[in-house]
Amino acid sequence: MHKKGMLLALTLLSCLFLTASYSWAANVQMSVSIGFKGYVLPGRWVPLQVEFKGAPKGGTIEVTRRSCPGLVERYPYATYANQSTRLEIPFYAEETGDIATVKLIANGQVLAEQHLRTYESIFLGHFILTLQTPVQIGKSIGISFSNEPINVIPVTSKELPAMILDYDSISGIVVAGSDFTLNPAQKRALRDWVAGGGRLFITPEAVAALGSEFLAPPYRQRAYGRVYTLGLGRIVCGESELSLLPWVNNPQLWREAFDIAPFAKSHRLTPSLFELTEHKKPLKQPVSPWYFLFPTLWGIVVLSVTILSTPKKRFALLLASTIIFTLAAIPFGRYQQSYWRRGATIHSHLLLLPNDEAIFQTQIQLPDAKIWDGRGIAASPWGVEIQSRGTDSGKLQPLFSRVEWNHRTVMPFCNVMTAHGDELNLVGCMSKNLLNETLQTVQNHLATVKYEEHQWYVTYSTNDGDEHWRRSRRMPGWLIPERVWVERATLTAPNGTWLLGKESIRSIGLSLQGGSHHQVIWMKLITGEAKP
Amino acid sequence: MIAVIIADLGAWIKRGSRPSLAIILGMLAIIAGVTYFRPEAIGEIFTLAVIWAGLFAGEERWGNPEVWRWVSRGEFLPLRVMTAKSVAIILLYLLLMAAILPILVLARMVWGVPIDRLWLLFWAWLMTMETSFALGITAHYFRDQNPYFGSILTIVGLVTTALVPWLQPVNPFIRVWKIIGSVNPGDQGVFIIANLVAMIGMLTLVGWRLRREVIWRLGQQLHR
Repeated sequence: MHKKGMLLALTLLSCLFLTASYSWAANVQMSVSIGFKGYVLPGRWVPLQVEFKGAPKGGTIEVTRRSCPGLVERYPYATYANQSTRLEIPFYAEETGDIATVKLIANGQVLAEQHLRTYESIFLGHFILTLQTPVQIGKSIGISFSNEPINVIPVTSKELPAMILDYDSISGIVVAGSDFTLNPAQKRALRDWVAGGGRLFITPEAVAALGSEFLAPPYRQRAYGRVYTLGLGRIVCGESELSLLPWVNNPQLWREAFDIAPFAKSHRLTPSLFELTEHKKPLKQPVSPWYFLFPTLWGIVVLSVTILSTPKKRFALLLASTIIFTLAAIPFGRYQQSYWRRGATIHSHLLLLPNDEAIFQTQIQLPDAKIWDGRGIAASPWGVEIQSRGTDSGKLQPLFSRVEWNHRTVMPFCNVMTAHGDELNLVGCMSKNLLNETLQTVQNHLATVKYEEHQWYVTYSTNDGDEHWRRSRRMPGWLIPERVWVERATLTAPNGTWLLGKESIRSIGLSLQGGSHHQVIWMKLITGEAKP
Repeated sequence: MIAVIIADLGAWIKRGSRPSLAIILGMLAIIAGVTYFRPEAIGEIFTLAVIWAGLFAGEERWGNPEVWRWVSRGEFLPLRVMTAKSVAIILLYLLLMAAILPILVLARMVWGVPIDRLWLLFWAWLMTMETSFALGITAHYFRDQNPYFGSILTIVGLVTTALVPWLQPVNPFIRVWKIIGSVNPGDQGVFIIANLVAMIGMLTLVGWRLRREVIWRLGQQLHR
């Protein structure tokens, strides 16, 4: 009877446990959408919006993609009782199409799962978002640019992205009315997008809701309203109500207000400028030149103890030397791994936006695994661990063809653009306050070049210590691998003056195995911002 | 049993520790320096080291001959002595592992070998050393005046298990390489069980031989 009672109790407990597990999954409701009303511009960043309700605390949202097998990105979420939670995830839409899988995981269980195909609603053209705008205005905009592919998409205030990456595919935004609220992250992202070349049209009623910081003088008065410049972009504040006939019936007004270039020639300072540079097979990361001292010293000490000491003292001395060398191995190992970074090479590019923000791309690669080819030791097949500003972290493991990236905050510092077992590409945004002060003073003149009116200039020093610019016939050698994105960036302001350099910028904050020093190629527009 | 363990370890400390430690630690220091602490290189060299150390321990190069006198006088059962010696091998293995700890720590930190793989290596090396010890002790009692019998047996065993595909999972060098460098480390259980069976088989054979000798000697004494 005792045994039967135990068995019954165990069966009941198992049923209860299974029921409990099942009940979590049954209560979670999740919906996922990609792009803007499902429309995606390939080769650009788009928002992946995840909305769910009924999930337990402490779980994660896991995103995987068919185009990057082995890549797992995890995002934390915060839940509120009986309220739905919304998470915005910047997603890079591959040009060849992709399938994203989104899972909600809590307590080790997959509570909800959804698949999304990015190639079902592709639109190759300008995206114009409208917020609180009458329907006829949207139609009017579409008619205005009849020779251009334009997709006018009405959005709500919560659908307006809060991260600069998600504005990548947006060419223009129309904001009317005053019955909406944007949070500080959305306002900041909106400003950054305008500064990079975006076109924002707002009505007088919307100014109050957006905040007056959007309209900083000076401005120019035009027939359609006041035009403010912000970096390479413009903000047009309409003088009259959008519902009035001129805005509905006069296509010319919209063309003049937006002044959008044809889609094929449209250039803005956006994260998708960072086309993946095809670096030559990356040079191997050098090992620390004095690494052999440790095994040599260890060998000498243990051999001396073994050979010269008597059996009675031998083990005491060996034990002592083992303890000393094991303790010494820890800081020595940390130094070695931060110097060598498991053989990983890292290339970073930084694009300074006109409004004191910056976007960056970092490419981390593990070179091919030949053990020794005369130039250095092969990278570790067990991969490398990466830390980003002490919040996000990840692992690159070529042996297992696996890449993990774990976000610790809902507004991550950087996101994964693409990843394969031996390569990881991250794109992120940071405020200039975080950048190294040397960028502001541009002290490393030897690495600084100027690009002005299709001409390259390099600095040189005279005998009296002054520095001057000297014309160079061609692009400097160290910039040639970066040619593609540099040329695309300069197209945003072809008559502008650009400054480029190469420096160690610790404030990007990427650390591989504790080592954070690496050269960053940066680029800044110093004159030639858009004219209203 | 403890007396046998202490006797054997004591004999190793007196006679065997100097050459064995000098060779093993010297080889590892060179390999670590040349290959930048490459885990595969260190792993294979240490595999060779444990095979060599186990074989020499089994062949009684460093053993305490007093132990076998106790056996021949019937004071200790052969099975108990061999069990004690197997335990002594485990302790010897732990001493060697402790001696190479700095290099293992560096290999793990610099290259990032996962901890679970190092744990598999620990057990694979231990099993290898026990098997080579059993081979050594078998060779010692069946060598028929050939001092290299143990080494020949070991080399034949290693080559055979390396060349025959279905025996490769029990080859220690292949096993170590797979643990360290493969996506899937394979089945550790097959390696452990196969080596355990081989070890028990060889020790049983030696035990049978020793019992015959002990019974024969006791018989001789009674006769007198």
